[in-house]
Parts: sequence; C-alpha cells; structure tokens
Amino acid sequence: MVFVNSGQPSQTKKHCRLLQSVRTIGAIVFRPRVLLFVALFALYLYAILDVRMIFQARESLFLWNLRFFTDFTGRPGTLLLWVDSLLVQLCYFGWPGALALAAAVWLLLVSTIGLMNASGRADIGGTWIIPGIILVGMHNDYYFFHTSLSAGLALAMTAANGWVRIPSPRIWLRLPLFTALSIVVYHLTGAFNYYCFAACCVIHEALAEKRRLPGALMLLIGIAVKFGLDAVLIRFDLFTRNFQPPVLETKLNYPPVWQLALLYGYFPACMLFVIYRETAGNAARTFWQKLRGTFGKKVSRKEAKNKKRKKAARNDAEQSIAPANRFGWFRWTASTLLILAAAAAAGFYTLDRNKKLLLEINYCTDHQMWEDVLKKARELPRPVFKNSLEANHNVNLAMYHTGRLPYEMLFFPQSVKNWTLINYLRLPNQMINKPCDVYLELGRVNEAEHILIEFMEKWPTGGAYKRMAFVKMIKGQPSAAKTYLNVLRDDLVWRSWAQAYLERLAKDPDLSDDEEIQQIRRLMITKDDLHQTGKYSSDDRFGINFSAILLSQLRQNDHNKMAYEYLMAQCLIAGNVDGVVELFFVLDNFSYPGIPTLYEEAAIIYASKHPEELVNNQSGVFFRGRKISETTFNKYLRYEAFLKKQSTPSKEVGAAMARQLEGSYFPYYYWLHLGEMNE
Amino acid sequence: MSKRSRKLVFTMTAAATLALLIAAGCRPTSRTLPEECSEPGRLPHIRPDYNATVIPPNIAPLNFIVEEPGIEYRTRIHGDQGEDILIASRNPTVVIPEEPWRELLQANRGGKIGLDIYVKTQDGRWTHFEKIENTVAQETIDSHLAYRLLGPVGNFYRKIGIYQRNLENYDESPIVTNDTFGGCINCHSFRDNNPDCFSFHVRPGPINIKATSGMIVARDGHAARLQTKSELVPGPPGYLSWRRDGLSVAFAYGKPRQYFRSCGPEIRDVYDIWSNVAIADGKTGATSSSPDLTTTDHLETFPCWSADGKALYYCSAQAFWNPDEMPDPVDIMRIKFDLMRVPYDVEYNTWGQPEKLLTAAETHKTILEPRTSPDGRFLLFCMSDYGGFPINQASCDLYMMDLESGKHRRLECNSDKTDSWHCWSSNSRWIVFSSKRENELLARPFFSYIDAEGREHKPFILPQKDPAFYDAYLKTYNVPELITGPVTVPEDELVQAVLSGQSASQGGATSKPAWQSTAGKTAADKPNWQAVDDDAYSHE
Repeated sequence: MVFVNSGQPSQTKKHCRLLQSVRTIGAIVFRPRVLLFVALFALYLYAILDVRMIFQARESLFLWNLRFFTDFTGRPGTLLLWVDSLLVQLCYFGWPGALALAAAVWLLLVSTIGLMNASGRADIGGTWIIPGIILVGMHNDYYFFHTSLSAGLALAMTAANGWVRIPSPRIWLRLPLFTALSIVVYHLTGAFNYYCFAACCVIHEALAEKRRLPGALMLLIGIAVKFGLDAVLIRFDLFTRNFQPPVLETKLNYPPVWQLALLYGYFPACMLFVIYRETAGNAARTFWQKLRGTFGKKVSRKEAKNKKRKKAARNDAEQSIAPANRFGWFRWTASTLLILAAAAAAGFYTLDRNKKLLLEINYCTDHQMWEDVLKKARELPRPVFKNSLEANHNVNLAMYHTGRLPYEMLFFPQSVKNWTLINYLRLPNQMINKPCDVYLELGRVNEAEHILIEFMEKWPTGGAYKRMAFVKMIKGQPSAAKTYLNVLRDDLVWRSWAQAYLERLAKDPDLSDDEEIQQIRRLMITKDDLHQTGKYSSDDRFGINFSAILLSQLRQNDHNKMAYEYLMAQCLIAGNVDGVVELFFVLDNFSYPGIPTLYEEAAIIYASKHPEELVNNQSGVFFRGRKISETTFNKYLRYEAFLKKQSTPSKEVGAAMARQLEGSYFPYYYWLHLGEMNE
Repeated sequence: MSKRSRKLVFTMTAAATLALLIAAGCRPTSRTLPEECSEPGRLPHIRPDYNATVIPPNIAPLNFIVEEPGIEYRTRIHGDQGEDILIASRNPTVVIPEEPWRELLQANRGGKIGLDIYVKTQDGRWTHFEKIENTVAQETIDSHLAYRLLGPVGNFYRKIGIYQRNLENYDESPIVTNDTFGGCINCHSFRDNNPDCFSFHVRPGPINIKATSGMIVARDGHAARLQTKSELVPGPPGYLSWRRDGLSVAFAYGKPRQYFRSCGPEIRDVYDIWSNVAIADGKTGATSSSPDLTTTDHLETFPCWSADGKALYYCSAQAFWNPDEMPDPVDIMRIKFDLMRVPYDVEYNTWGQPEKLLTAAETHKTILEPRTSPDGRFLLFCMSDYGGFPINQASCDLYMMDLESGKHRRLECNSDKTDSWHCWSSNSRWIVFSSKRENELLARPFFSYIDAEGREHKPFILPQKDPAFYDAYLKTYNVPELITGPVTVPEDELVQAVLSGQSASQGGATSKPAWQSTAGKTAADKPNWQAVDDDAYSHE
C-alpha cells in the first residue's frame, strides 16, 4: 500500500515553522530585560544626561543631501562619522536623539546576545550588561564620539550575528561570502569594529563549528580585506571633496584606551567564554559517561547540526520569555534589578555634573534664556566658574540682557582675562560663536564676519553658516546670504529658519521689516577704525584691544548701550575708577533710574581721592551733581570703617569685607589693590 | 509555457514596468513638442544665464534651470545643422545629454544654436517662450581649466588645493592639495598654457614641517623645487609669469600683510609693506633683477612677460608707510599702481629703461595684473579704486589695451562686482576670469569670447552638471588658468617636491644671482619674509 501525502500536514508544518521563526525573531529582538534597560537608558539620556547638551558640545556640520553623504563614502569607517553627525543633529531635538542613541545600543545588545546564543550554545547570562554599562559611562561624556562607537559595534555585531546564523554551505561558497561581508563591514564600520566582527566570525568558525581550516582561511581573508581595501581606496581616491567635513580630518575625541579595550575586548572574550563553557560541559559529560561505562549512540553530523540549531533557538527563547514559576519570577526580578542598579551606578558615578551645567549655561545663552543662565551659573561651584571662560562670558551677557550688569556683576567672579574672548582663534570650536554674537550685538558686523570666516574654516557648523547668512543680510548682501541659506536648507536644525529667510529675501531683499537686523544696522560703524583698535606687535603679530573697540563704538554712536555697559565693566574690573567717572556723561543717554550701583561705588572711590567732587548737604550726597543713593553711601562708610580698622591691607580683611559687602565694588577694589584677585 | 512560468513572466514584467514608472517620476512624459501653446512674447528666465553669448564648440553641455513655474518642461536645442535635442522633464532642471550636444556644436561651428523652451502650467496649458540663441564660435577653447579652490579664508585655512577641470565634460580632479602638509598653495602659473610646464608657490603648514616656503616647478612629468633664495631674493616668490621659451620666470617678492576692515562690504584687504620684481632662470633658479624693479620707495609687483619675451610688464606704485607700523586705512587707499614696461635683452640678460604705459594719475584707479595675449596684440589688466589686491574690491574691472595703438577700454563683460584674475587661451580667442557677480563673496570662473577685432562677448559661467551647483557651493574659484590639456604630473610627485626641500637646479646648490641689484638695497635692509607666515596674521 502506498500512502500519498495530501499536503495538509505539510502546510501545517510550514505554519508551525513560520510561527517558530517569528517567535525566534521576536525572542531575539524583544528581550524584556534588554528592552527595559534600553527604555530606561533612553529616559536617562533624555531626562538626566539631556542629549541636547551632546549637540551643544559636539555640533558639527551635517547636511541631508547626497553631496554631503558622498564625502563620507571614500574611506573605511567614515560612514560612521556621517551617522554620528546625523545622531548629533537629532540630539538637538531632544527625544528623537535620545531614542536614536538608545536604538543603537539596543541593536548592539540584541545582536550580541543573538550572536552568543547562536555560536556558543551556552547561556551568556547577564554579561550583556557589560557593554551596556561601558556605553552608559561613555555617553556620559558629552564630548566623546560615542555614537559612532555604539552604531559601529551594533552594525558589526549584527553582521556577525547574521553570519553565524546562515546555513553552512560548502567552503567554496562560504569563504567568498565571508570576504564580501568583510568588505562591507570594514568599509561601513572601520577598523576596530571590523576587527571585532572578524574575530567573532573566526572564533565561531574555528572553535564553535570546529572547522579549523576555514577558520584559518577566514583569518587570512580578514587581514587581506583590511589591507587590500585600504590599498585600493588609496589608489583610486574615491571620496569627494564637496564640503570637506572636518570630522573626517580632525583627531576625534574618543574615550580612554582602557574603556575602548574593555568594550571591544568583551565580544571575542564573551564568545570564547560561552564556547569554553559548552566544551567544558561536553568534556565533563563524556568523562562521566565513560566512567559509567555507557556509550551514547553515535549521532550523525546532520543531527548534530539540528541539535545545535534547536539549542540556539531554545537559548533565544529562554532568555526572552518570562519565568514560569514564582521562584523564577523572583530570581528574574532580582537579577534584573541588579543589572539595572549596576547600570544606574555607572551612570551616577560617571556623569560630570559641572560639565553638564557649563553646557546648559551655553545652551541657555544660545537660546537667550537669560534668567536660566544666571540660575544655572549660581549652581556652578565657584572654582569651576572662575576657570571657565564661557561661563564668565555667558553670565555677563545674561546680566547685560536682564539689565543687571551695572548692579550685580560682582556677585560672580570676574577677571579681565576671562572677559572678552578676544583670543578667539584659540577658543574651543564650540565656543567661537560667542565672540561673534557679542560683536554682532555691538554692531561690529565686520569683526563678526571675520570670526565666522575663521570659524567656518576651522570647524564649520550649521550655526556658523546661519550666522554668516545673518551677517550678509545685515550688510545688505542678499546673494551671498542666499548661498549660505541654500546650504542650510539641508541642515536638520536650521532648515526652517533658512527657508523662512529665503522667502523673506525673495519678497524684500533689504529685509526692512526685520527689527533685529535694523537694530544692528543702526549700531554699525561707518568709519574704519582698525588702525586705532589694533596693531602689530614687535613679533609681527596683530592684536586687538577690546576696550579700544568699545570706546570707538561708543564714539561713533553714544547710544550703544551694550558698548557703554561693557566698557564700564571693563573699567570696573581693571580698577580704572577714573575711566568710569569719565564716562558718566553718557549715562543720560540711557534710562537708568539714578546712577547704577557699581558706578556709584566706583565714583565714591574716585571721590575719596578727589574730595572736592563730592558734595554732602541736607538733600543728600552728590557726585558731580548726581545723587548718590543712601544705601551706597552707607556701604562706603562700612568700607571706610574696614580700612580704618586695619592699617595694613590683608587677605583676612578682604575676606571679611567680601562677606559683609557681597557683590559690592568696594571689596573688589580692595582685593584688586591687594593684588590677589586671582586667589 | 506552463501556467507557473506564465505567472512568473507576468509578475516580472509588471515589477519591471512599475520600477521604470517609479524611476521616471511615476508618470511617463511625452518626448514630443506640444502642438498648441500660448506665446508670452518674452524670453524665458533660465539660470545660469546662457543667453545671447558666444560659446566654444568644445564646451560641456550648458545645463540650466528654467525659472518659470510649471509642472512639465520641454526643451528643444537645435541649430541649422545637426540633429535636434529634445529634453522632456517634470522638473525645471534641464540636463543635456553630452554626446548629442557635442555633435550639435560641431555641426554648427561658426553658426547659432537655439533653445526653445515650453512650460506646462498648472492649468494644463503649454507656454512657448521666445527662442534663446547662442553663437557657437569657430575657435575652440583650451580643453582644461586649472584653478585654486578655497573657502573665503582669513588667517586660518584648512583645505586649499589646485584643481583641474575638463571643459569638454564635467570631470574635476586635484592637481595638488595641501592635505598632507596643511600649508598654503598659491600663484600657480603655466608656461604658454602648457600643462607640462607649470609652477606654484607653497607656504609651510601645521601638518608636516618638512614643507617649507618656495616655488615648485613641474616640467615634463617631474616636479622639484626651484631654489630662488639668494641675497637679492630673500623670500619665496609669488605672482609668477613664465616666458614662453620656459627659460625664465618672472616673479614678485615682498612682505604682504592682511588687514581686516571694521566697516564696508569687504572685510579683507591685502597690502605689501614692500615688494620687488625679479626673474629666475627656469632651470637653475639663479635670480636677477634691475634697480628699477627693486626700488625702496616704490612697490613693484605683478610681472608679466610680453608674448615675444623681449619686455616685462609690471605694476609700480609709491609706498606711503613705515614698514614697522600698521598703516592707516587712508594710506592703503592712497596706493595706486601704474602700468609699466621694461625691455629685456634675453641674450645678454640686460634691462632697458622702464616706461609708463598707463598711469594711475590718468585713470584715477590702480592698475594691476597685466596679462598679454599669446598673439601679442592685446594686454588684459584690471583696475580698481586702490591697492594691490584686486580680488577683494568690488570696484575691480577688466580692461584691455591694444598694444599697437596703446589705447585701452573697459570691457563690456564686467559686472558691478569684482572681476579679476584673468587669463588668455592659447589661441587668444577666449579669456577666463574670476567674477563675484553672482555672489559678492565667492568668485566663479566666467568665459568670454574675444573676436578677431578684439571685441569681447557676453560671458558665461563655467558649466556644471548640476545647474544648481553654484547655489550652495561655498568655495571660491581663484586664479583660473586655461591649459591645453590635463596636467599629468602625479599629485604624489608634486607633494614630494613640496616636502623635499630639494632644489630643482642641478646639483641642488643654491644658485648665485646672475646679476645683482646695484640700488644699494640688500636683503639685510628688508624684513624677513619668513616672518610673514600665517601666524603673522593671527589675532592675539
């Protein structure tokens, strides 16, 4: 009798297989622990780390167009820098950046677990958290190029995972396949990620699959691909030079070597570990079997392979599903909590809060959130503040914008050398926009343009192009502005800004209804004064005097409030009370309610040397016809009492004075003359 | 064919059709001209402006964008001879196929080609604009253009390179870039439009300290340094000009400084604290000059050999400042150069008496960058309001002097923005120059046809495959030079010469000046050029 299959059972079998495949893929991709970890990581990136600060720290040029992309295609690993630049731009928007960064880590973790399960057959347990924790630590440094690391490793491990899971065809097909995959992985992910991929594949082939000869050949192919592709790419020079992004040429800021070694070493080490565990287990079983004198039936090669595949699928599934019993639940929960606690501890201990605060101050300044700038600056430890050019600069700018500069400037440490950011060529790339913004506000548009020209060569960013377009619009050069706006149309951050201005320029090239532009145009100087504000030194270096610039600006327009307040601040900080008093005549151009406190205090100090300038009568105390407030005069009396009490100036007196007269010019002046300002 | 095979064939055909439709923009476009259309009676707006100009018969397709609103576009390019080219597209970008274009131009040499543009508007009606007509010149243009690409740099620069572009297609390749040493590359100059003999000047950079200042000469596939440093010429040469026989190269040397203006449309300005002119033996580097070219009270610059090599044109102006102090902007604006010519006897290496060809007093402008046409008939130069660095001045325009009559005139092809850095083609029928007319900040190369009477024609911009290329291109085209073929010296060879510090002269010894200045001015009197590296311009 002949039985013919009706087809029904085979269809059922197909359905089962499909379901099993879906389940396996689901099991690999949606592991509860990994998902929980990644979800919390995304939350951490958004809420605690604040990914917007990653953009603040590492803004670099990124354009969403083919010409920009092709600049990254000519050398191995450079595509990762394109991905990195894209992720950094996404960070500007907050949530999208956090999700993208977390997604890269998720892909890395699931592909790693998948790779180990498919290769080693032994459970890797919770060791996947090791790269997770390292990456948490790396992400905590805003300046590191961690995104390219996690994305590169994720791609490399995904490729390795795919490689070990493909059915084993004959060697003549397997080796060319490996070569092709190696070329792709090396070109996409660069040397270190490629080494990791190749090491995992070779270990799998030679040790897990016990195919020694193909393993050795794959090792040779791995090396040949690296050097061969390098040679070919150098010979044929495939990359374009459309935008020449600096990330392709600058030495990038990567995490310390030990962290990198730990991260990259984990993958081959873990693979060896799981293979060793299985081999050790097998050896032990064989030993006991021999001891008992029983011999298991001989298993065919095909059966062995099926067994391995089933085991891999079981491993995948086992790690994905929730435990079946109460004790299992408890164990699962406890171990999950342990893993998360380890990650949280890594996050907590590696986050540099001061660095974050400094970036937040920068962020708030760039977004003109002046009150927040001052609030965050107060949270910053005093020594950190004193050593930070940018914090000092941002706080002074915020105080100017909130009208507090002539009143509360000395509530923050001040130093002449920190004040002006004139040495802009030596500023960090992310700070060079600061002096540019100040010059623009002052009406020194050409100086702002000069800074931008240098900046765009040194470290071009969308922000720099935006400013350049703005400068060109202020100067009434719409066609030049349009070139930069056209570039910015492909910038994810500034595209809507650029589009809006392109439309406005099309309607009115002069932008006569733009109040900000009109305001700066009103402040622009009309007479070249660089021969008065700068000079060549004896060693042929050109220098600019910031005070001379402010004075010249004020001479050409005595209603320039920023120039006035900044110049007065310069005089105050330098202890030049004569200069402060000399500039009193401009006070009336601005609507101050009386004399601003710090100017009053400087005037009294001046008057203490020129008593004839101070008039004390029934109506109050007057300096050159201007009334000195009672509070200020009382402060002066206390200052005088301090001076009388101590015949010789000392730090102790200065400290006591500073405590009692906090924020006042008197103790500052005292310290200045003590020569201890930097203490 | 079995049912299964038929199904497979059907599926594959459907998939292929779908893919083709997607590739073609989802809806197929007709390749015929519309029959019914309205005539607005005006020319269409196209960008770049390729209308009523004269083009070479060997130029790459002049792709353009139709700046007329529409949903479909048809363009017919035709001439009296040859096959018409019909281009249909759904977007306003017109990309002309290279081979038919080349054939059409060749067929219409000395004739005209027309562009008929049809635009379909939102309401489904076609508009046919007036015909755009360009003349195809009989004479070809040199096949390649060499230029320097750089950003609008101030003190700091990162990427600078000299590139070459095939004008017959869109291929661009680097001749030499500063990738390996980070320094500046400038003043490239070709002998007689010949790609096999040229030179350029390098300054050291931060990446490789082996690169030192000097002149690199490439000749017959090899490159080396030409050692010109001597008592007469203490610093590296700039503004080079090769004599046609290749035996001598004229150059300027001095102490340039950059200056940043605090107001006005252009922020950068360059002036020479002092500058002189000398010549060097093209093979040994031995330098010589005349007392009239190395005066202390005048600035001499921009040398250019006459076509026959028997005279040197240059520019000269009185200096107003003390080299140790920063000059007042007013003084810089007083500097105006005259156009000079000095006879030279090649056989005896002697100079004649310099003569003023054109003075600033006559023109009220400064006269710079003289370039003689290879046929020796004309002298092309530029004039601007003041100073010795025209590229940064919007007032800079091109002028041409008929060397027989001595009369000069402003060219019609100028714009209200900077037009400078000009160069003749080897057949004296084309000029190329850098113009900032499109952008005010970044220069682009423009070509103009010079007919047999010496009249220039409306210029056109260097064509690009993507006609919107210049809209967002942030580099400036500096010193465009027409050459008769591609430069074949490998970039590696040029870079090795930059890094070698070796002399091109035989034996590598420092050459002695063939003729010493007798003006009593020695190198010791002058500030050291080496100090004028880019650090000298750094803001402190």
